[in-house]
Amino acid sequence: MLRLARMHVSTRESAEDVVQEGWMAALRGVDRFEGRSSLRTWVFQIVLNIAKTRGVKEHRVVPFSSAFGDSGGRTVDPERFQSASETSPGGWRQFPVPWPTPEGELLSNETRAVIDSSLERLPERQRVVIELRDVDGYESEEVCTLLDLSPGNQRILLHRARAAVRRELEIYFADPAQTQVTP
Amino acid sequence: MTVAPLTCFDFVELVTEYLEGTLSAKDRRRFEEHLAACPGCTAYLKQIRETIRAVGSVTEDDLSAPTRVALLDAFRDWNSTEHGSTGLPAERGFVARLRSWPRRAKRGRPRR
Repeated sequence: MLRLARMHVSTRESAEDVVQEGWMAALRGVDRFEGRSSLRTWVFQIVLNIAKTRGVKEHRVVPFSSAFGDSGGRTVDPERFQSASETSPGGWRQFPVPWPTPEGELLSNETRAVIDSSLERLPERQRVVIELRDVDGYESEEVCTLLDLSPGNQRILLHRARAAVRRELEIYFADPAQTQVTP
Repeated sequence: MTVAPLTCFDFVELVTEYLEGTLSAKDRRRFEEHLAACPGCTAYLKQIRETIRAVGSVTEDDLSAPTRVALLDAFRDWNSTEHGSTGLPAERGFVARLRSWPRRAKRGRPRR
């Protein structure tokens, strides 16, 4: 909820106010809940409406261009693949190197810090989509409703976000010492 | 009519649609045929799955203590009034959710 609110308002404090106000409104208005959506979607929508209203007051504008970044549509560096003149055009030049086993290093604190910092650097809408889906566990339909996205756009944002985080993890696992993690 | 086999270059752009279950039957078959034959793409898809799981292990953003306390107070007041008495199933669920809210665990769903 904080994440959603922060898309529309300028500060964390403001986002907290929005969440609080949203829950209060939900409590007062629960008699009007008609069960047409899931309860949590309903509460989220109340929070979202308040965030939007307040965001307008704060003149915060989320640039729409941030929706799809400027990556030119490819989520893996085209240099990783063979060109038309090579033996298998479009095939990997070098296979991705397997990562440490998930039970071990993949979930270490340092890895989490790498993930945190790569999430922070994602374009805003990609970040919100991947966090709602993969951190908070929302279904794609809910995310579409909450963010007013088409299923296709939701998927594109999720796809680019996951690929970007994978890239950061790949760089980190290739040479952990070279990755500067800013806490 | 034969369908052109998928290249690795294109495979990597279809992984999310594959995992979301939104590929057409034909594209899904092409995807899986490529996957079965290509160690590189098998490794890539595995890394995407590991990425999803690893992202799922970062903690949710949480409300600051003062906001949470204020909200909990509001919930308690609300609970002690006549609210929650209309007996609608949805409303009972709502109250249950509010009660469990502060100590709710991660809302993660089982990963495929």
